[in-house]
Amino acid sequence: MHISLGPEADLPDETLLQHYAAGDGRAATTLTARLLPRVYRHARRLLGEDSEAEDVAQDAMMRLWRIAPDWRCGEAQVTTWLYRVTANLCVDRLRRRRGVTLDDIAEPLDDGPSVLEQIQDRTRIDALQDALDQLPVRQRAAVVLRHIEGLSNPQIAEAMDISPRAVESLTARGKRALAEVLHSRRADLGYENDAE
Amino acid sequence: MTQNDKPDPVSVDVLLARARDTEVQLPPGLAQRVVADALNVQPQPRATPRRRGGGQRLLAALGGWPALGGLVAASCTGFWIGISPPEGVIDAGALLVNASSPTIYDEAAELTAFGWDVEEG
Repeated sequence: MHISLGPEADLPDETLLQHYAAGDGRAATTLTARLLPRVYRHARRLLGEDSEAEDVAQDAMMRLWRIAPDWRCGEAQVTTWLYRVTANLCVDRLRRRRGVTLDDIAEPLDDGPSVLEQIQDRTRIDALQDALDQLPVRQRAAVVLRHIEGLSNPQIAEAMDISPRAVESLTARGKRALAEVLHSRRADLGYENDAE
Repeated sequence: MTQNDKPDPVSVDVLLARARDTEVQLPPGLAQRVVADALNVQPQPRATPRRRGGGQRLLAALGGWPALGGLVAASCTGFWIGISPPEGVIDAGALLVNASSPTIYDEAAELTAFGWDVEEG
């Protein structure tokens, strides 16, 4: 879906949320265009599965619409709040998945073009997702928020309801674990060839 | 563990950067469903209450039409008692000339009751 952004495109999320709560339907469209891709991507990274990520993204956005009339301006950023809700919804689903082995989890879908030169890149991104899936969920969330979504440590701390120091620890351990998993697949991913 | 066995942190950074730059393709229909959800649960704009005039605000402060009716009835009763007080009751006019007993009331009758009591005998 292509969503055209109107004159409200430059307004902050919080202001748009107020407009939505006041009955402005265009604000909902603008917020969806702005926030849904981030929410969906975050859910996809945490769950490693597309259809569940889709459900989580829709659910998280629904919670945003419902809280809009009671939103207290200046207390939290809309994006930070959404990342927290998304992560909590993902954790719920991952808990329900207990007993499911890693092999049972579907590979992320390859939605890129099937050009030969891009296969290796795609394989590496998928390998990253595989490696992320093997991390404990809190490490995974911290790494994704820091290194893929680009949030600052204080923002992650707020989103995950932990201290900034704990964020540093989680991201550092997460990256080390990722490096170990990826190193074991170094040959498969063609890094030896790259080095030549 | 040899130097070659160590994980390569640069590779992780490169992969994370590529993941960051990867454009997200939303599943077909997801954005439409989210917007439809938003419109379904959107609060309805509140109707702006009409501004009431001074008379209506006073009426509301008094308690509405029933209270106003009671107020008018009580006022009429008080007025009637004021101009035609029962025998033995000092009226407001008598008090103004310091009448404090029925005797004085009798003397002050012409001043206080417009002579109606004299006519009545």
